[in-house]
Amino acid sequence: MVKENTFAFFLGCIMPNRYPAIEKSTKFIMEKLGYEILEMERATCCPAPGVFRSFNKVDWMVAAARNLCIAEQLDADILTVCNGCFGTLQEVNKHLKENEEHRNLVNERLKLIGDYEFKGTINVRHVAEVLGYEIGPWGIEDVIIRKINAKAAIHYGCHFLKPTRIREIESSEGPTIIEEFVEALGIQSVRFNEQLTCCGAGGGVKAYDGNASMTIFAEKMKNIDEVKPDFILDICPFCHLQYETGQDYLNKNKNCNYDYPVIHLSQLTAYCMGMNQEFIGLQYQLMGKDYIFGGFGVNKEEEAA
Amino acid sequence: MTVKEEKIDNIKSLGEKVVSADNDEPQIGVFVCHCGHNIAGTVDVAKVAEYASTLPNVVKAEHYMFMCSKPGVQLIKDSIEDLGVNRTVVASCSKNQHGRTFTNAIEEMGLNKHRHQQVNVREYCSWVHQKEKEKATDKALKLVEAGVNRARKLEDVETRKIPTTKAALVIGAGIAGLRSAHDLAELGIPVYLVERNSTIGGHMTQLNKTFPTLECPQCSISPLTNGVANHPLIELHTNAQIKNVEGSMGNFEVEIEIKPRYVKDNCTSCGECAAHCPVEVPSEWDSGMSMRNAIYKAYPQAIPATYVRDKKACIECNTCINICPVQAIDFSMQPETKTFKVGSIIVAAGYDEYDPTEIEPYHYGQEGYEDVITQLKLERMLSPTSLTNSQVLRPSDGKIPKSIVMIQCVGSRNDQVGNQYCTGVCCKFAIKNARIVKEMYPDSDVTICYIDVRTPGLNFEELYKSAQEVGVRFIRGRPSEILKDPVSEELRVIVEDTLSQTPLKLKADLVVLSAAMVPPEGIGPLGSKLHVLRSKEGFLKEFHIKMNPTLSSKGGIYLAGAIQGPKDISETVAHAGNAAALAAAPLVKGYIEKEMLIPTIDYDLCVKCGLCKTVCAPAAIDIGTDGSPIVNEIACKSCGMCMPACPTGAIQLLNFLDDQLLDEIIAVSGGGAVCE
Repeated sequence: MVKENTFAFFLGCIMPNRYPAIEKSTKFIMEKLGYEILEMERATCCPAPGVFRSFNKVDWMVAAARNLCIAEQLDADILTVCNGCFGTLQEVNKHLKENEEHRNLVNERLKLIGDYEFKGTINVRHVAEVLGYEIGPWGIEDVIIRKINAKAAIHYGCHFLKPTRIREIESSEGPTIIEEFVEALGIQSVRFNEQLTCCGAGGGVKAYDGNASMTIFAEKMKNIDEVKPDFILDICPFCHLQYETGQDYLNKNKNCNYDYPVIHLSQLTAYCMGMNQEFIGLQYQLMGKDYIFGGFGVNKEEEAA
Repeated sequence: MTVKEEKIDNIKSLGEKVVSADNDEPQIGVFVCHCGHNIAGTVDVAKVAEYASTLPNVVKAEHYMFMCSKPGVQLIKDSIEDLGVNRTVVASCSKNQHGRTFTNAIEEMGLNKHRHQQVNVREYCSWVHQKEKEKATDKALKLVEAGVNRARKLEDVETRKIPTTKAALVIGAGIAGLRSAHDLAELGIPVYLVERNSTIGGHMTQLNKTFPTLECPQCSISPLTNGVANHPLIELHTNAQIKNVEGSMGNFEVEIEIKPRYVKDNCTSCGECAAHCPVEVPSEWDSGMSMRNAIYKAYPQAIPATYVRDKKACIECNTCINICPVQAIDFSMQPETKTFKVGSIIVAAGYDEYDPTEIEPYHYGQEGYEDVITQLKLERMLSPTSLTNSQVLRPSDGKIPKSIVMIQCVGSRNDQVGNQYCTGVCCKFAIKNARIVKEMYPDSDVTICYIDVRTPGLNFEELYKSAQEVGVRFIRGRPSEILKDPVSEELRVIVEDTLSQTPLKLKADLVVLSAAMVPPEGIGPLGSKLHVLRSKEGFLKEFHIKMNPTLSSKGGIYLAGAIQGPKDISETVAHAGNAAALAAAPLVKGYIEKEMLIPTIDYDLCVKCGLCKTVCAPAAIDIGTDGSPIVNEIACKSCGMCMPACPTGAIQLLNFLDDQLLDEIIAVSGGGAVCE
């Protein structure tokens, strides 16, 4: 049995390097919600599900299994805030639990790099699923101190729900988990065209073919711009990065004039739970630097952190 | 002793055992066929015949150009008459091809037909080893020797005449069941026609027009529905289901349960009850495109015309009872069961339209997507009796759609939903409906998104062309998604035109899904009551896809129409007529001939494990009260599946006994496979 109410926090690559505010927000909300957050020392890249797996599936599994082993040694489920990390770790964890042949193969190779053995004792969780299902809109109501009156364009990204037969969270064709959760924070979700398609970053596209990535993204932004949300809400630092740098790129190169704040679900939830706007870190992001959430207090009188 | 000598010794010793038991010294005649160059071009037939003549018990061995010709058959007959040959081996083509020719010949000469052994040296030798003549000849030698070994111990098998019950059961009263029932009755056979719904006619009555001639289906089918309803030899039971089926080919006993209509037969069909009924539910017959009352008649021409009460929907306000001018309504009616004896059964249970709900990207049936409908619903809208007065109106707002997109292969050719097959009918009905709609509304855009247009056969390509000519647009591509634009609230069909490799977003006021034909609900329980096999798609499996697509896996039970696989109306009618003819044959003749080539059970060896029953596809093995298996001689198909299943060797099939097969194997394997 793994420790209850404890998570091994898998940081991944983009969040700690580019968006430390997401990391701070996540720790803030999880600790406020009564979870213990453990550091995963010597954790590496997840590694990314698109690129690494395409080149060498076995080594992709070995590197992921090594990260899983670190959490197994901590005796805690992994918490990720990134669709890519979730995609890799959840899939490898599930696959190695079910496939003895690959488990043995991976363990053989793990021996070569240290004291690691995949045992299959933990689960991998995404912060959106923990908030959406475990805490739930019914539970978050009790702990928030303010709500925000705003319209959000929600971007689910790809790996959080797809493939559905492996993720086993919710249908990827009409998900509602985030909509229902943020409704409790006062947010109104606005539907836009082709909402559930890729942001254009994943699968190595952004690194390999920037133009193709921006073509996909430009279409995405066009669809979002039609419905004029107050901000874009995502659950993945890589999508976050794409929305940030992509808007900037389109403004500079394609005669656009976008300035939609890009906000991760952890940042939003942390604000509603009392974290000061300055720690949400919008001022350090490229877009929506001056955006003010403008929350209004609910029920409780509690000092902001 | 060489291997060869040892082998011959073995055979001799095995052979002698039988001879002493039978007191019937085998005199074997071997005939090798040239089949023109088919066999003789590759296999050295003279060598084969010469070798055969050296085998024990062979009294005659020769080769001839065409054994199936009259002189060839005469050779066999002569050998029986002149030389006293009492077992024959013909090395030619397959048993299916000409086995009958030779067994008939020896039967004419007074020998039991099971004394003939067919050896296939054409498919097994000359055709597959055309470039290896020596090897082909060697193989032929072995196969012929194996055939001789096998022939040596062949025993007579009795053919028994079993009287049949002159009556038939037809399950399902759609177009297939009606056709079969009527054809049987016209042959003088009493028919019990059992229909699950309250009316007969099935899906055909729901259609607006039939392709390719755009005829009125009601006009086509009503002579048949009336004919069946009034036929003196047809006993019709609606609202009825099969409860139990016992017996086998020629003699079945069937039990059905008839649900009450709650309206007696003196109903005049005046409709007063429905007019005053306060309850409304979606009409099943109208595919949900209109409402019916809790007491209702499915449609104006419904047969029987007697109204029926939906007990689940009824609130028992008793208004109808009070208002009925002839006091026909009686809520106290009870279900009744009936049993009858029949000789043949025809299953004409039809199909269901595939429910596209599970294809999530199409959002069928979801809130906000009311304008995504199926072709059957469109047919209902177009039909003369529709709520929309035969107009095509959007379900969401009742307006005439300016752009209509039809999507093909919904539930067909789709591995994700588990249906690999092409329904084969959807292209035709979609093109038909598209043409009708385009002709009605020339200003509207009508588009069909397809993977392939499949319109084979007479008149169908012409139909396709006629639709193109009136301006129906065809786009090759399977739509990935139907989206509702959040701003304009319009439907968009996302599809790639794969011919020009262009991604498209088609504006659609109405989307029509060409849903597949799938096995009808409840076919599982029905199939298991009938003990018939199903295909992996869920339809009932035919006996032979080419040579007998009408017989089921069980003798005496025939398939008519879409229950065997998707079919259009013409195909269904032809199939149903064939089913009637096949089902009638044993009943008209009065008996069936059954070869008693059936397994015998050594009850001393039997451990009553029941494994034989589990592998018996035609369900010919019953378990007796003491747990021992009993073979139903009539139902048995002589497949032999029970033999290898039996762990103790207690069940043995006549002429396929272990030692007979061993003899055959010895020759083929060169004696090496003998293990004592």
